[in-house]
Amino acid sequence: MSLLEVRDLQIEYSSARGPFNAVDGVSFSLERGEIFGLAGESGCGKSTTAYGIGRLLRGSARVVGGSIRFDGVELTGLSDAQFDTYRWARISIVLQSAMNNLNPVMKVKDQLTDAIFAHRKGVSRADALRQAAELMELVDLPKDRLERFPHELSGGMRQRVVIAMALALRPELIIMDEPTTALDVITQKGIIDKIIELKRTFGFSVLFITHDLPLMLEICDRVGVMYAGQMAEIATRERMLAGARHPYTQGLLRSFPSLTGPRVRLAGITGSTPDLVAPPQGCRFRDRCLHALPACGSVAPPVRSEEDGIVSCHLYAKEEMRHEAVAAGR
Amino acid sequence: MKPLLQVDNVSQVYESGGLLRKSKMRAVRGVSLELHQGEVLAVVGESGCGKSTLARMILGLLPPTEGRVALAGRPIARRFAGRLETAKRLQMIFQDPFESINANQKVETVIGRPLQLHGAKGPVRGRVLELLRQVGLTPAEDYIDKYPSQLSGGQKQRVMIARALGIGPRVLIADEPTSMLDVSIGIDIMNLMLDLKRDHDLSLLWITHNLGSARYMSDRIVIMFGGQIVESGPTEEIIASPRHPYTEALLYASPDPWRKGAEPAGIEAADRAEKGLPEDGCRFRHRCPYAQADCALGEIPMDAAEPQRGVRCLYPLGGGAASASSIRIERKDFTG
Repeated sequence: MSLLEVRDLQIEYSSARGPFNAVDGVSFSLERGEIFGLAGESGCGKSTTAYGIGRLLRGSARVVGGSIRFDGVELTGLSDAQFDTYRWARISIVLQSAMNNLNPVMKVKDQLTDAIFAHRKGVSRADALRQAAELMELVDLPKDRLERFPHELSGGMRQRVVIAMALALRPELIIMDEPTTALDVITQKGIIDKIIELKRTFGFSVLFITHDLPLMLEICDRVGVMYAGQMAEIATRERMLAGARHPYTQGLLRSFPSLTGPRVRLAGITGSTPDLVAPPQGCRFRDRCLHALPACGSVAPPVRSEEDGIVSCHLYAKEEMRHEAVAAGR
Repeated sequence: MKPLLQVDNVSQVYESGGLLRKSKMRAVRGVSLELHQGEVLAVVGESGCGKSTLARMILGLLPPTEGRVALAGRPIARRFAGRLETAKRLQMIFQDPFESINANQKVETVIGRPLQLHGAKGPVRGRVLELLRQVGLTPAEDYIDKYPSQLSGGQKQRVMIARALGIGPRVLIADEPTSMLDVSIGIDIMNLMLDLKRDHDLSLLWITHNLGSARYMSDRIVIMFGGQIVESGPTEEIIASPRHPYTEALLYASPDPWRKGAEPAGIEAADRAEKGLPEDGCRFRHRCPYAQADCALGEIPMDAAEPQRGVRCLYPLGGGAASASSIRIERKDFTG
């Protein structure tokens, strides 16, 4: 059984122009000990998906359909009080800016022990402090930093503190939303290497969200690429490196200037994302797609499963389905 | 050939504090560089390396504490009267198009107002339409009467490029102009700037933290660390064989899942930021996997033994033993 099983997730926002689904029928699963990436550009719904799973949705956003099963339990059916037994203890979260995770007026040691006291009743202060010191060691921070306030630490050290906090209760799933985007690349590399090492030690799973596809392909075992609220493609790292299936993923991969290989002119992706209040029929990517077929304008793309991934695109429909789709498109 | 833009040994010292506790921060330390006609030079460094301060000094927005900047042989004006003259030749594209655009002006004014300031007589609407077409905002008639809030991030950045282009500058300075944009949009902006550079024979100073975008855009690269240039050279040479340990760390820390081969030993040392930057000697030495005792002594000079390439390191990578020893002799003289 997968640790996390998301099926047909629908998350709705309300806007001045009416409600819209920022996440519209997203499905994926996350195995134990796996790092699964959610990629895509701004507004694609990747963070909303993660916040929906972690019950961090704000404002008008709410889950209106689908299922989120964690370790066999349906999370969408839980009350907030019931979900609190999962929060931090079994599912913890690392956000982009460490300052959003940390309380600026609390010392590092108090923030770490807070997490421990909140979920582990009857722990003595000395015991909690000892655990906090161990956590600092795990993320390679000197123990004297326990006495510091967040602003006295560098951005990279703060993000290490946040990762230490996320580990405090040995969760099975850590959701990381752009955990290194605000950092310089050398600092980023140190943190990414640390996450991989800790994952090997503790065996937790990671849902890793970033717009940086090359970074994602360095750290993740499998990657899901979202576009306009839907899952365009899921593929193993190896599959992605050998060549993505979905035209959107292909375009995204072509948009990153590489440091290796020949210097070639990159194409990017022309056009812009569709209006989610009134999404187009058929494939949402079709206006920007280099390979669009007649059917793409009217029929939702079929989902095709392969051994190394899933793709939602008419180009990969079974022959007979494709004929039907082409006929329907006429 | 004489360089179009010449930056000669400029420094910037920021002072803070009051009478009793005054502290000085040397943000840029003796930077020299040249930009030639039609060339793209990338200035690469991480946050706080001084690259944006350098850009402000080149633009004349911030007078250098030391050194001078010259454009086509003439010093950059610091007084307002001369600023229009500078602006005519030197234009800047900023990082955040959301911040650098006036939200209350229509596109026609955003692009047209500088044209009028620079002496255009009569209506400028036709010229604005032409500029919109040049930056790919077509049909231009659909864009000219819009407000910035009606534009996407990429479209705003195109408007800012059109605005800069209108005055007919010789040099464009771009400070991370794509870092706020989605990657597939960012690459379009980069392509646009390369096309405009080619069509108008512009020179481009491309300031970035991203080595990948520097490679995509530039003919030459300078790498900045701690307010200094630590390495310079033709782009492909720097990427293929970095000589400064910091450049090597930057290269191997940049995500590239297609890279083959093992990473150099000791790269993780470059992440030790907690010790801060030393004032003397090599500023990178606390984070350098190859540092030796003498890296702490004196000012490390820029070694330019190889044509086109410079490296500020006593023990440069890639068989630089000979040049390292020659510097050491020089340094003995220097430190007495």
